[in-house]
Amino acid sequence: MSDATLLALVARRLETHPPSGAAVDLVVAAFQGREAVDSTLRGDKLATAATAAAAGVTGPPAAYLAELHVEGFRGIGPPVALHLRPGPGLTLIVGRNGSGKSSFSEALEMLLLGSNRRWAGRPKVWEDGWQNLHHRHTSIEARFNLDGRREPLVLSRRWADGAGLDGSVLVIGGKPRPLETIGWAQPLAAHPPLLSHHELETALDEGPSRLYDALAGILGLGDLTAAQETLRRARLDVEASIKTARGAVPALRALLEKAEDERAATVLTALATKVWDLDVIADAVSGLAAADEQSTLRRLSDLASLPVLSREDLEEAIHRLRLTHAEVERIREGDAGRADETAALLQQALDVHTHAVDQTCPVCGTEGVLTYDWRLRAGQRLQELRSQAAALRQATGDLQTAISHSARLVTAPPAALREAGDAGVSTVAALQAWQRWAQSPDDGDAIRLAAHLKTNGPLLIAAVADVRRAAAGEMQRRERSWRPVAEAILAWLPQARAARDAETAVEALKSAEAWLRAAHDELRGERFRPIAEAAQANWTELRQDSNVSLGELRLTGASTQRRLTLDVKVDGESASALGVMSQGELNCLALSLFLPRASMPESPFRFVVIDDPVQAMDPSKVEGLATTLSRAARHRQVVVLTHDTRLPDAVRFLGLEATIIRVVRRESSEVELRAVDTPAHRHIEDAMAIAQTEGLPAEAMRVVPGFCRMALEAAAAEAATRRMRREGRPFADVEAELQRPTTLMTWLALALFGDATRSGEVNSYLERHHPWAAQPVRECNRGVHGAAWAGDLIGFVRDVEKLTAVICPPAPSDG
Amino acid sequence: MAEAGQAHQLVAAARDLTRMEVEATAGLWPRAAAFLARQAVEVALARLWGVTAPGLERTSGRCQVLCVGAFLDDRDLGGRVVLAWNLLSQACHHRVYELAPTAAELNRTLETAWELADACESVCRRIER
Repeated sequence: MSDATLLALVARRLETHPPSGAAVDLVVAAFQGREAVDSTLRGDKLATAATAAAAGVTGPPAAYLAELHVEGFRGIGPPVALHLRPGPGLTLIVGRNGSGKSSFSEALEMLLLGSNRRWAGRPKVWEDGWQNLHHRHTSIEARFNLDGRREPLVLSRRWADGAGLDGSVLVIGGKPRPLETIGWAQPLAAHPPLLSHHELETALDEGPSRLYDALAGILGLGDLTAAQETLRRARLDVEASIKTARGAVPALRALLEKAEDERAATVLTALATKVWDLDVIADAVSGLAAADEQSTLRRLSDLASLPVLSREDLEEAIHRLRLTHAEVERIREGDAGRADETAALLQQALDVHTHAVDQTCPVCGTEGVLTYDWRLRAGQRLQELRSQAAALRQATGDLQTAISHSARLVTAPPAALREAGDAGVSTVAALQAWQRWAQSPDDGDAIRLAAHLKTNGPLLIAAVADVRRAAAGEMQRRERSWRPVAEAILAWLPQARAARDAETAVEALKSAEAWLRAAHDELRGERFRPIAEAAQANWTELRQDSNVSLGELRLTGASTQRRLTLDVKVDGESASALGVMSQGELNCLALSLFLPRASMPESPFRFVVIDDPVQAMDPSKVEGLATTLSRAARHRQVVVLTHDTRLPDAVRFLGLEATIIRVVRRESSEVELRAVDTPAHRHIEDAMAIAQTEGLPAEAMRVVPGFCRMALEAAAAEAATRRMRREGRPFADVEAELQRPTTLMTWLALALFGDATRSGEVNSYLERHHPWAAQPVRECNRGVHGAAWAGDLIGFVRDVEKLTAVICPPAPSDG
Repeated sequence: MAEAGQAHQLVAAARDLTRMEVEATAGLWPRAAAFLARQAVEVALARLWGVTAPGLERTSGRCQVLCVGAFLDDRDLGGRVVLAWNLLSQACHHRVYELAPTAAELNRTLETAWELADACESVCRRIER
């Protein structure tokens, strides 16, 4: 869980000073851990810094300390219960040294942490004294009021009889379980609500880096460092993947250079560029690439698929040529050659004969030959001649068809063969064969053509078949030698792709890292400012007459150079070391720092227990301490254990509101607690002191109702707080409600009815239920503004005291 | 009746004592200064009561300092006067083992006394006018 306030600062800074591009998401992801960074690199959309900050807010509910029961622990023997007012306010627990008062804070520390810092590093005898000598049964139990819960949270630590210090069991809400289950483990470490005298005394002795750690923890600055580390690790991993991909390249290159395959060259070129052209490589390897026209592979593939002349087609063509030629020859051998002419002559003769009357031949002059009989014969002959001529025409046509059909078989050598080049296959024979094949006689002589086909056809077929076989063989050979190379590249490609993506990832990661590094000091400064300011304010109040002034507080440096820088000035002169301060001043400074730490709004602990801050403190500081504690107590439950009366005296004399509980230890470790002073009680005491004064002038009497009025208001505030806590109202509500009343009547209305607006009903309520109290309340209300007092002043104070007890009955600890 | 300015003079005298480095007063000055400061508070209050509540100056010191906050209408100063008064009372009664107040404590008390004298003076002037 990241520190919400820090994340909010990060979100704001990301808006005002954004890093480049994807780095914004990476910075946000870095605070959510490595997985978030990885999925951001994959391109997943993550929660924005603002929502991440909002998600970080849900801590455990705020808690006030209500009761602490201790038995058989350290100076406490028989069971004793410390009842506290579970809300903002100052409680002083006063007891002489040895009264057992410190045992309460040690018990609380033991309950929460299972150990005690005061004993850590001390000889074993210290530890052995943990159990009370007079009471051998040990248990510690605390009740906490939780924000918005009616039921208190009960934590207890029990020891089986005879168990050692470490042999305790933590029981939460009736079940044995660790503090993690209620979300207290982390805040306990970050915002320890217990400040022991020992800690205040040694905190500043342990050096500036130890102080840095003590303060950085609460600021969530660890998150800042962790985020940087997360980014750095992610970048190293990504860079490693790039390195792996790059590292494989020389071996691949060697493999490729050995390969005679021209794809190797393509791949080598693609690898030679600064950014690998992985798509080209992938296509080349998978064979998807449209091979170049000039490429050997393409040429080989063309050669392997050269057009083949089919032997059947060749035979068929030759056969047809010969057949049709023979037919024409056969028909021509008869008169068929001149059949048309003869037929034409006969036809003419017959035409002439039709018109002539004599039988004389007009050609040779022979008489009596052109008879009817001749005419019959001539007609028959004409028929014969005509069919002979038709047969010849048919045969000649067939011959021509056969020739042109054969000519179609004769093609020029294909480009693939002509331009085969050095594809690794000999094509000379085939090309010659084809060229000879192409030089066919074109004189229409079917016989010569047939002879050409017969001679050159089979040669061509054989030569082409040779080339095809050779080309296919060459292709297969090349493929066989290429395959291992291709497989190596295919295996490498995913790495290379990852590496290519990684290049952009590295850029983004570097940019995110740089942003965080640059923002680190700024964010740290912003995050620390409230604490530094509170610490300075505390110091100013605490130092009183000290000539040491505290300037700026800064957290600086990193790793071994990390430190809390305190700008200390003595009488206005800069002093580098804390050495100039007295032990009392060092304690004050430690308290100045640790009080804001314990009061951070993020901490679920609304209480802080401070053990003996007054020791070694010079008297004038005690007044400042009282004021500082009282100011802290406005919003926090501040419980202070102290051995001397200076602090309670200062609180009382300064008129600061506080509950004072006295611890008395009798024989056999029987410890007794008595509330000797509550705010209401003290006002009554002051009022009574004045009221009992003999010879009090009338003008001074008006002071008494003033004190009485404050007593009633204090009692009303306490009663209202108790009522609202019983109802389980949220803490913020309670505090807001207590801000509401401005007059005595509204205070009483809040206490009596739980509603400050019903002040008009207070009077009639008092008349009805406590008629004796109506008049004193009227006097209190009129008091300060009223005329001279004429009645029984002492009786009046007694009535008011009685009324405070009615409004707010004494709590168990109130003696 | 206490005169105006008398309380301030007493505080100034006490302050001088804390700053003096004279053999004759060595070891004695804290109590002497405390004595003067206490007188200053008494005088300042007497002046205040003379104008606001005649007769109050004859009551106990505790009663008087408890009334300061109400009459000056300043609870904070009232509280500090009570604190200062208690410190001065302890310092002015000789006890064998009680340590004298430190310079820092005395300074703080004198500041409070001076502030009280100021506040009393201004209240008195307002009423007298």
